[in-house]
Amino acid sequence: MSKQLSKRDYNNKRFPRPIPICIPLLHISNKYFTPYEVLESVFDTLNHIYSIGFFNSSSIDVIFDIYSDLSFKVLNPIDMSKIWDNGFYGKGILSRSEPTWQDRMEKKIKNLLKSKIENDINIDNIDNINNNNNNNSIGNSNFNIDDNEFDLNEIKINDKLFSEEVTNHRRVLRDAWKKERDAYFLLEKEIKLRSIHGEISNEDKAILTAERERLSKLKDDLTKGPHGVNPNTLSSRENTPILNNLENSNINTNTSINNNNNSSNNNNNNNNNNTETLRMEDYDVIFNSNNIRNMEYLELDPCETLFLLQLNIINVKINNKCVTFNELIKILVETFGPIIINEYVVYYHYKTLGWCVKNGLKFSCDWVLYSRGPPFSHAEFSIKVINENDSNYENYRDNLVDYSAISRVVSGVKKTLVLCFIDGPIIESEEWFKMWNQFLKDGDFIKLLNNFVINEITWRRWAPSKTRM
Amino acid sequence: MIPSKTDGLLLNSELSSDNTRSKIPFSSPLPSSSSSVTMSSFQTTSSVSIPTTRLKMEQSPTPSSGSTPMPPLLSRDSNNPEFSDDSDDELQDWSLLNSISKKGNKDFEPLLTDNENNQLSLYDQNKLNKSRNMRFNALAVKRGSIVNLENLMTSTIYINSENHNDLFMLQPKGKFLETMGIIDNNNICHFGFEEVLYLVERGSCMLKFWDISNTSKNQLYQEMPPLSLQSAYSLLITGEERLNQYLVYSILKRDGYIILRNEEFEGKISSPDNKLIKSNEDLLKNVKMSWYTNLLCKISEFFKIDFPFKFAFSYFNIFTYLHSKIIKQSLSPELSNISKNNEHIKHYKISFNIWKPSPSFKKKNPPPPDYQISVFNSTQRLPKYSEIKSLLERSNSNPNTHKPKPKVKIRKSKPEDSNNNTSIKLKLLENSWDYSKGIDISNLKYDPHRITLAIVDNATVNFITLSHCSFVSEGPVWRDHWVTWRPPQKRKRNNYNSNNNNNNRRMQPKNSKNLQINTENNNNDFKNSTAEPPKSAYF
Repeated sequence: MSKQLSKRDYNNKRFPRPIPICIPLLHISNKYFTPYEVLESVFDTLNHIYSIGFFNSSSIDVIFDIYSDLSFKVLNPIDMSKIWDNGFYGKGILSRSEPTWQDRMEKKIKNLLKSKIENDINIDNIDNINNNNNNNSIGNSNFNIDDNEFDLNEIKINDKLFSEEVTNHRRVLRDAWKKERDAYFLLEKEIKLRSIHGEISNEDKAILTAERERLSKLKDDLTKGPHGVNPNTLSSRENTPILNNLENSNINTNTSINNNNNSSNNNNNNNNNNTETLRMEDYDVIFNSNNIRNMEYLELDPCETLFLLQLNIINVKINNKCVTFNELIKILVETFGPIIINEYVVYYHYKTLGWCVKNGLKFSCDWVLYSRGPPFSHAEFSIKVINENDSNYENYRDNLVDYSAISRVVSGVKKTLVLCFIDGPIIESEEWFKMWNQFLKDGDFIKLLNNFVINEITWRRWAPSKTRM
Repeated sequence: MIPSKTDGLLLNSELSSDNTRSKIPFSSPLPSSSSSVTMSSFQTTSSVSIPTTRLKMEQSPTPSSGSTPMPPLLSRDSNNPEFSDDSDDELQDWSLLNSISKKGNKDFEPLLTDNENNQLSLYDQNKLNKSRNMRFNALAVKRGSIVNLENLMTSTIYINSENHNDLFMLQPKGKFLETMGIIDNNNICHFGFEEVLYLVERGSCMLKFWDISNTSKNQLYQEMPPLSLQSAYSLLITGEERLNQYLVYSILKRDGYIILRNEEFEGKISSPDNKLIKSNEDLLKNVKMSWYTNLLCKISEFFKIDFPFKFAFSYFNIFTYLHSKIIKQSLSPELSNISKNNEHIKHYKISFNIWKPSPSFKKKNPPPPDYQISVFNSTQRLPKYSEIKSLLERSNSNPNTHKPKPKVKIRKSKPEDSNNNTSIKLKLLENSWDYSKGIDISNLKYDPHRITLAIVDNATVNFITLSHCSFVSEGPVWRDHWVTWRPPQKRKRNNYNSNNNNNNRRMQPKNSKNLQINTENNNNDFKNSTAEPPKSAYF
């Protein structure tokens, strides 16, 4: 992608569809300012229709692995990207969500192989540097700072990042900031210890406030800025009173130097941990000089599979044999129990209201709802399903404390908890079997879905001390 | 002359810990006459002055010695004018303590250095002393009952010795009556148990027995000291339910809220006064299929083929179609299976009505409450939907309390005559469902039908608000213009393309025509499709 494309445009181009059905969309708006924009919209529409022609309409194969882990697997990388890009279905098993393992691995191996060759050439130089480090601790710390800068520059230059890498880089930045903060704490302690009668002099106070302001500004730069950091802000550290003070302070010079040494050693260790090296397993993945074996597959949730199968977008295969939607329902009810129908009722309800429904297990609830999808925004709602038609419902031991705990987790990630009460024929009662037999006879699943009722209640914490005014 | 002796002893004992004791000549013989007292005191003024200053230093705490320091006695005894007893509704000012706790515990994490073995540094000692003294100062203020001692009648609540639920005040007077109690025709103020307990615990009032049938006893009761807080608790808190109710009441009251009993407090469940579920038309108007989708649907049903997704022309249409299949789920929410469960619905009661503090509050004519509280125990299970629904249907709280402020600033209209028109239009715009705007998520989050559960876990109370929400009534969240609509590019004025920009600007009038034509075309297409013409690509 060219750099001129904004993130929004890029995402729009890459993830244009909520369901993997390709339909022509007319690029019309009600706000035109120039005739150029009118032409542009016509062009966009034509371009869109043109690109649809190339959309591979052959359906996607999903394998239902009934022998190992009862999961639905998409193995073909093209299918994987198609199913993820058009509605964000499934999860790459070696990635956070989007199946990017192969790309990441390729990138890593390419980089590391190159650097390894360079390393072999420069190995003598590195030995020299190591010797220097052992001899001179101050040189060591300088070297580390430079190293840090180099890393941060890398972060800034590199534009296209995988989400896993973005998190990694954020972690590096946060560590860098924490180091700065530790230095500040050290300075504060120094000043406090040599204060006379426990009172900090105004001079020192001024130094501390200046440092604090610098730190908060640095944090803003690190967290709020464009993904990356201005390395100058970190390298300007030499000019700040922290180092000067440490050098100038007559009291406890020994300890401060010790501390310096300790921190620099820590730096060293951290760097060693952070730098990626090729492990033995990584060589197994390489099968010829340029290509690596794909170890990742996309795993679909049973509900996602059912939904896609209902729309005839995928083929589900068991033992290399395609199954129909109704057959799959029967198999799923046999393997997972009748509760799967309840799950699908909820999934279908929110999916057909246009929400991007993903599994909410990591937020201690059943589903999370994105208004468009994970790359666009954070999820708005998290759904906790309460199956009131469960025959065992009365015997559950969940009390209000449990729901408070869920709400605590969910509100911590700024989502709204929605309790989703499902009512319908009580599972495995006479009525339920009547409904089920009717389905087996007619094969009309929609009719079965209409036996259920969904009621929603939002759960929010109220802190009386905060809403008084 | 004993006092002077003890004084000397005290000084000696204080000095015994001091190394400089031997240097100070303080062994004056006990004088026998008053003149000699003055003499000796005169003699020792020079020498004693040193120990007294030392004494003062000893009194101000030194943590190195390990003893618990005491604050100067003076500050304890003196009646601080700030905390006057005049007003009956004044609480002790704990702001002194607040200023300490705001700093957090970490402020007192000792800065130990390696060479000193667990010896506090000067900085730590200083910090510790300061905060300790602050606490002592806060505690030194006179505490306890703040009843008006001059006119005890106005701050005495009587409890009927036969019926402990009958609590009243004979000469009601006081600021707290603005939000508490009910005054009847005989100018007797009746209280609920939670109000009495709160007032007694806070020290605003005291509690005494009163016998209605046998008035001769009352004289005796009057002379008796007021009932202790302990006995007040034992008389008024008769069970767990009452304790929970009192906990909730006192927490909210201390937070400054106005809190009154709901009419259901005694356990009488009122009939539902609002309908939670909208009429079907209201509910489904946003998931209704457009005429075009309907046509496609009919055709596909007629020929018994799958729905032709490729001809739907918008994902919004596809979603409305897919959802139309399960429309029965929301059409008849009072299905048979729910009504069957109706028999064993447990009705929870709404206990309290809560208002945010406001000076204009009148307890006789209160506005709709900001919150309504139903008290629960933490070990209870989550109530069933039918139970929550019945609570929500009986609730009647102020719909504006949680309304988020509108994000769009309403422009000030210039002439006054057009003011009305524009405001009406603006209102219409705000209320009407608008395809181009996307769904209003705050509608889902903050529904006016809501009830607050106070979950009591031993002495901790958690408040949570349950509110009704309906995703169906907001319609599909997907908007096709998310994909197709490209925002106009920002124009940079100071760059080499300025010529182009000028051209563009000159062409603006033409464009507006263009724009009109375009929107008209769109609208013609749309008019057929939906009742409310949407603003963007939508078929």
